[in-house]
Amino acid sequence: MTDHRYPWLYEAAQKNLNRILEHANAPRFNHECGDCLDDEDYRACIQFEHQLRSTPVGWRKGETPAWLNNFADQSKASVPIYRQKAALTRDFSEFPTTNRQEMASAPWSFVPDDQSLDKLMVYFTSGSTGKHMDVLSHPVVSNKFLVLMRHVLRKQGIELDAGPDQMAMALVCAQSSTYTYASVSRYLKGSAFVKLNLNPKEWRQPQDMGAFLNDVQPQIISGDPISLAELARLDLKLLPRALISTAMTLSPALCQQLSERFLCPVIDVYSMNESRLMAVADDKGLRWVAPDCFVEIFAEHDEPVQHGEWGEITITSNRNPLSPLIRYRTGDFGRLSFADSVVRIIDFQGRPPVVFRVGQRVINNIEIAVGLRAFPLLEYGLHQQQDGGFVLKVRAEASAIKDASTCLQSMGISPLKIEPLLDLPNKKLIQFSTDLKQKNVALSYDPLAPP
Amino acid sequence: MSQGPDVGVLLQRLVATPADFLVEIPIKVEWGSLSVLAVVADTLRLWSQASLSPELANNWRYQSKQDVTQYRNHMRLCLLACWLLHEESFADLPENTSKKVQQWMSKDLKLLAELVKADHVVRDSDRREEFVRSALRALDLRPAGESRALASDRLQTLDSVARARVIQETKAAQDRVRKIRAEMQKKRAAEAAAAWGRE
Repeated sequence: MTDHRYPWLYEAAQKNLNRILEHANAPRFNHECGDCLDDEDYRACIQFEHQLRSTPVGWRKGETPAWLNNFADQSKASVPIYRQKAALTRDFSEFPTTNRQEMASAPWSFVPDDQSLDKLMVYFTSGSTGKHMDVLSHPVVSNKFLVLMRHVLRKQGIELDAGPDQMAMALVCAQSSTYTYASVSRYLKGSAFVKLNLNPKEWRQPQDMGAFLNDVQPQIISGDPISLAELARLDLKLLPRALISTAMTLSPALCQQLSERFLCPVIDVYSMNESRLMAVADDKGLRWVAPDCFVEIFAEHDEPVQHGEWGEITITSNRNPLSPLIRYRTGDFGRLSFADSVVRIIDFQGRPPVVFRVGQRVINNIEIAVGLRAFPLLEYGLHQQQDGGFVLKVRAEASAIKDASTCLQSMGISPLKIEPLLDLPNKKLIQFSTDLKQKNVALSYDPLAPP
Repeated sequence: MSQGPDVGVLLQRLVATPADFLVEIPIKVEWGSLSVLAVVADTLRLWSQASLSPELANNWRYQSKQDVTQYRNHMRLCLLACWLLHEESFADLPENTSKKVQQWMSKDLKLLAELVKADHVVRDSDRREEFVRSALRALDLRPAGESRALASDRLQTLDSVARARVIQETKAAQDRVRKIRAEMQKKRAAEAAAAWGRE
């Protein structure tokens, strides 16, 4: 089989793929997916690997990476949205921002004029607002995730073994339904990869899930915090070398629980569909690990904030040939910290700020997020209704829900109705929302600044 | 950019173009009494005595059967240009004016010839003004009594070549969007590359 999914597939890798697909306890895979890595893109991945080894990532406060101005010039000449929006700019420093709404309404305007459409791929994302968005992508983008992830693991002393007898990674989901598939990776020399749904309905026999995972023993397991917590609940004898948490905020309490359960590090990453992996959590914040991405913090209007101030995380990335990003507002918030040329996002908040009214005073979502960090909540959404009352939708153990509720009430979040989430999730929960009218609070203040 | 003549004076001059400068162009010199090349060469000598290189001279010679109509229109525009440039206020311009005029006639007027008929340059007031302003821009002159910005703005409003380019670029951009959307439609149904992490 040498189709577009595997322009390279050799016999040993095919055997490895068959081993997974034909496994006696395999789930009912409902999708087919390859790495789509042809010779040219494979070389780009290897080159990226060399770049990661040889070039330090990061920049000092006030500096910019060397590639930035050239990339901005090229993009202005060839990418419709930048040609239009940045026509009068002299260099990168004068570029206006772009945002997810622009990407959602006209993804084609991000495609360079001279970029071939042969390898165009469409990733669908609903994001945390639930709005549909197509992201145009290219095989190198998802493959570079793997290259960068392997590099990050290596830096932490975790080796990802490659070869046509290996099961490199399992991506686990806990949803009512999702695509599931098995695949093999050219970059990892034929190693296998599976995407699984931990929903028992997706398996032939209830006991198959455990038998399959215990047998294939993925070296790395990735998933969102809900799925990883679901995995931890199952009676499995897994010995992963690391867990990778993506897509949602991982609370320190859950991180510790997972690490103790699987006896391995849990790596929380900052990644998005448009450009994939960019930063990895450490004890000080989200450390920037992507040499091909640049991050700034922007205020509501097109002004970068002063160093260290809080605002919207705005990225510039040349990783995705079909959606090059220049000053792209992510919809996430935080502030930058520099230690020499190590760049971190600190006080990260994955949604625009929301202000809740509690009697005569206001309380912002970040205070609440900080307060709830202590409890192992898998997922929660706090909503303030028109009448001023609150509803907390939460997925967690009963004791954790009780503690969280007490904590919220001590902050004045009252009256509070608790709705435990029991079914498997279908879509991401909006973490903070309100029916009350928001004054223009989005970026007009620093939510963690002393009063 | 130094100050040039008044646009009104040049417009008047174009309106008064003698019939000799409006004739149809014989394709080959031996077929008619008019040699555009000779008229152009005479005009260029207003500023420089250097003779035209054979390569440059080819701009005013009939070259190919495929574009007779365009060749003729281009030559007629060049004749109009020669008439215009004999206006007395141009006479004192420096020697390098010759080069600027060569450029204007061989490049800009060639493009204009694809879009605007020579007759319209004389009859139609907008095209007349476009022609005059295009000449002034080519000679690096600002119309008397106008700021540089006003002159540039006025020419932009009238510029047929720029307008045609915008239309062409818009069409190309629309074609590109259509192609990307069609490809998206096709690929949405197909599977993308394996994603190693959730976003």
